[in-house]
Amino acid sequence: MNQEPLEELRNKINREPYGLPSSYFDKLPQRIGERVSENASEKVLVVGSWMKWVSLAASIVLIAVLWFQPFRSPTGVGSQNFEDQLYWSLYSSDVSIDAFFYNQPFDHEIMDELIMDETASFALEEEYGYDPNWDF
Amino acid sequence: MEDHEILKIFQQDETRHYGFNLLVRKYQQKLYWLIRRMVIDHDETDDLVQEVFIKVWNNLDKFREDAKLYTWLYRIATNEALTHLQKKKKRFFLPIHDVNAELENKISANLDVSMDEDKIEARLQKALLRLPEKQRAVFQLRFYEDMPYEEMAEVTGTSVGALKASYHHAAKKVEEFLKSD
Repeated sequence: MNQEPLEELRNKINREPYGLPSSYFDKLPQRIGERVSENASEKVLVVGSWMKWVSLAASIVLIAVLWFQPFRSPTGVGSQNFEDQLYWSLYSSDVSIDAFFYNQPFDHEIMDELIMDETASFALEEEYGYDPNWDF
Repeated sequence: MEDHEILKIFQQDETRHYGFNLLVRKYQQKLYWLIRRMVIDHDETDDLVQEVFIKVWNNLDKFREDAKLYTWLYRIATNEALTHLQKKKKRFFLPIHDVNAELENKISANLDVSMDEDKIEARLQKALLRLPEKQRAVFQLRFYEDMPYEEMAEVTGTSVGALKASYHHAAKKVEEFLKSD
């Protein structure tokens, strides 16, 4: 390949052909130094912002965990309300069972005997009222 | 000052900024002109040169001294310029010839074509705009920087054989354009 014309041109061209602002290369290192410092402080800010959001999220998660964990929950296992709720759910289920049997087409006296204990306890509670410390 | 001396100064915490300043002063002009010939516009070149040196500052610790510092710098600068030109085309949804037309206008506006040297440079630059960007970068490294192919391979991450072929094609296209112009 004949590259003579190009090789000739290489000797004729201006190596720095375009115009530049005065003392551009004298000022450039300082401007780059400033950019480098800005860049470093931006990184610190970004890291700071990132850490802020992470700590906020961690705080929210921690509060949620503490709030909803069972032993703190008003209806959680081990709380007084839990015992009350359990008692009433058992009580109401007893009543439903009794009601069911009373509606059946067989002798209610036999039924009374069969469920005598239940009725007795029901009557006792009717008489003395609800005992939250009832041991079941 | 030699590159390894600058690197030694840079690696010490108390002289890090001084070492970096020496590096900027040593290479600013070479990198500026390399980028300027690619993007033509001074303000864009100015931004890119600063970006290049910020990348250098952030990554110089990772620089492996088995490579040459200046080829590493040229690699960053070439990549920045090529990425900038590609982004520019995508950003404005402009076809290649429109971006080239814009660059051609800038060449005419920035060069004093009444001077012979600048007239030749303007013709050459306009011819280079006909090349694909990577081929243009290869041509510039060889033609303007007189860089050996082995070092160009380090800069571009391409084999020496591929670079020789690329330069050959580029030179042929440029010559054809200059003859027809």
